[in-house]
Amino acid sequence: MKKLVIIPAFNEEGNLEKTIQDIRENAPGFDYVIVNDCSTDETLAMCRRHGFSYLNLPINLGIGGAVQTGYRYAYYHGYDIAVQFDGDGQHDAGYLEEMARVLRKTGSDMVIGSRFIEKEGFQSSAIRRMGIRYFTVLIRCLTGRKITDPTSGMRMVNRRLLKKFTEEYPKDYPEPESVVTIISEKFRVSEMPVVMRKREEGTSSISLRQSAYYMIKVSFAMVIARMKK
Amino acid sequence: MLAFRTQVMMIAIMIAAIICIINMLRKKKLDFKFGLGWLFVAVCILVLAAFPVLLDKIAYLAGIASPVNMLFFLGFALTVVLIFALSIAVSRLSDRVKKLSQEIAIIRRDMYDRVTELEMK
Repeated sequence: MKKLVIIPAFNEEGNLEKTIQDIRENAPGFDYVIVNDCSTDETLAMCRRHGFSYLNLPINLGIGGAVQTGYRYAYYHGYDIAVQFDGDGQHDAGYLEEMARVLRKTGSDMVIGSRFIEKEGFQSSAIRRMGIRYFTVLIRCLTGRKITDPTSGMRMVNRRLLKKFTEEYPKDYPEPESVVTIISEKFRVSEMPVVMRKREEGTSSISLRQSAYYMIKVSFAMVIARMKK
Repeated sequence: MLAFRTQVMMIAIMIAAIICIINMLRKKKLDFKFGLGWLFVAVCILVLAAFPVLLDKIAYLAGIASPVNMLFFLGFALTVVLIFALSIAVSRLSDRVKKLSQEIAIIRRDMYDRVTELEMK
């Protein structure tokens, strides 16, 4: 069973070292790969210096394109399971083995690590939670499924979805949209409770200023995703 | 009726545009796929400006009182179609660029791994 952790990284020099250490210690059954999406800081130099496993994109593709690079790499190299994992210190590698168990046990194609099942740990700001709840409601309207944390960047997929994501993955703000796409195409999605930390350094990929565009774009993309098939 | 001055101006601009398009095609700076589209727009407007009778008829059919407005409208409509085609082309290109750069990142990594492996032996 080959398992890969995909860490999309855009200017994460301050957090990457800890993230890799966390994975090595708490998820020893997993390989990992950092996808450096043309960081303008020392992320690349740091990867080289520490001998980290990384992929270096020649042009900036944005979060969707970076994660997809990882999925493509995993697919080409015969991985059975791949998990997306943030490089900013929010995620806890201690959950990865458990996620893989849940994936197999429930026969799901994707397991999402959700902050909002047991409501423990860092719960994000009130305004962001409202946005997330809105997506939960919208996904429920579109697919009939309840996904408590559709924006979670901690998601594990099996090889069947790996293939699907290699072929097609949204370019920006991919998480909620891809959930609708795969549920519509009869892939099985489940969630398990996780605790996330507050990010230590750097800023979220979505600033509040961009969030109006984000909400509109993602809502629209979700409706279109539902209409595809 | 189209004023004579308008007619001369339109014809001159369209001829210049057609020469420019053909020149670009000759120098291979413009794909035939798009060149043909732009040529079609230019020739359409040229013909209508050269034979205002046609324009009068179309304007009458469309219920537009002034034929010169019909000319502008047609030019506008054809241009919008072309621009839309360009948006589609750009989307397709950006998808291809994305895929290529992902492949490059992976190939580089695989090469690096292979070289390290060989050096170890």
